[in-house]
Amino acid sequence: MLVVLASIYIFFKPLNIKQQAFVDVPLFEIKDFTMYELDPTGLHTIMLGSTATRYSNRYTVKDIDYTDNKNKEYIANMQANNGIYKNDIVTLTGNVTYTRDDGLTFKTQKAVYNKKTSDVVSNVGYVAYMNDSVLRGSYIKYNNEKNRIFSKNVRAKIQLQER
Amino acid sequence: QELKVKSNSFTSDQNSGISVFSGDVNILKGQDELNASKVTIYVNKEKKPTKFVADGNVSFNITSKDGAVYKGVSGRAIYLPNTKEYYFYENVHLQQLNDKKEIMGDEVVLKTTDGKAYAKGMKKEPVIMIFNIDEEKK
Repeated sequence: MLVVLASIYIFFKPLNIKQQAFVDVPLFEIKDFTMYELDPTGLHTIMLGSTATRYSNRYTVKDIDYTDNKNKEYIANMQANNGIYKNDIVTLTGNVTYTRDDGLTFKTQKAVYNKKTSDVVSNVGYVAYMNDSVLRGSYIKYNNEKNRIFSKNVRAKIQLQER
Repeated sequence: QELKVKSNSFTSDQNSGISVFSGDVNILKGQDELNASKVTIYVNKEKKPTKFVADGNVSFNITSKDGAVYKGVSGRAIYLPNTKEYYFYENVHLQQLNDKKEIMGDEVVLKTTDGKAYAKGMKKEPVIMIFNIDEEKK
């Protein structure tokens, strides 16, 4: 009997099966959706998309159309090929268009929107249209709450109203 | 008319209607050109520019309506697009290239509509005007 036990100890090796840790697993996926986020003050976010995958800490959205309704004065809408909505940060990539209902629009390939501060930042080059003026630059930080823009390496075309 | 502006950075506060271009600012408007360290633009409610204030190492080339070409430098310049008037301050040196006239003073107003320039000197220093008179051939 002892011999048998000893032989198990000698001949059998533990199999090295990699332990799979399911950490970041999609919880569910929705298609062609519209999501409304409300809080006691009312409706503050509307998000549409063709596909959204929900993870434990974020949404990844295809063809994202995100509207921040919080600002009393101007509503800001953002559209892009892809978006990641995590905590209060919306990261937009691919044909990003930021539009405000007072006519300000800017286009870029990547932008990050912070819901808390209402700042939208892009550092991959942008084109902005304000009234009939055009602004290009390498970096833009726009605050929808304070109505302030900061930009670097700027080229602007401004229409003059000369009598 | 269209204004083309280049600068290292730009800030705009849409509540107050003030935008500032700073760092190697270059402005082109038709044939006119202005360079400065900083240019502040004031816009009205329709978001149209009503005043430009250029500060720091201002240099300019301006063509008036009647074709007179002005060139010069100053410490500060203000442009009012509605009336097409320029106001230059601080060590102004303005040259009218066609007629070879020069004005040096501390405050010069240039009205591009009627092609006239008015100068004012500092309390102790007079306005200096230089006219090059072609001498009659003997």
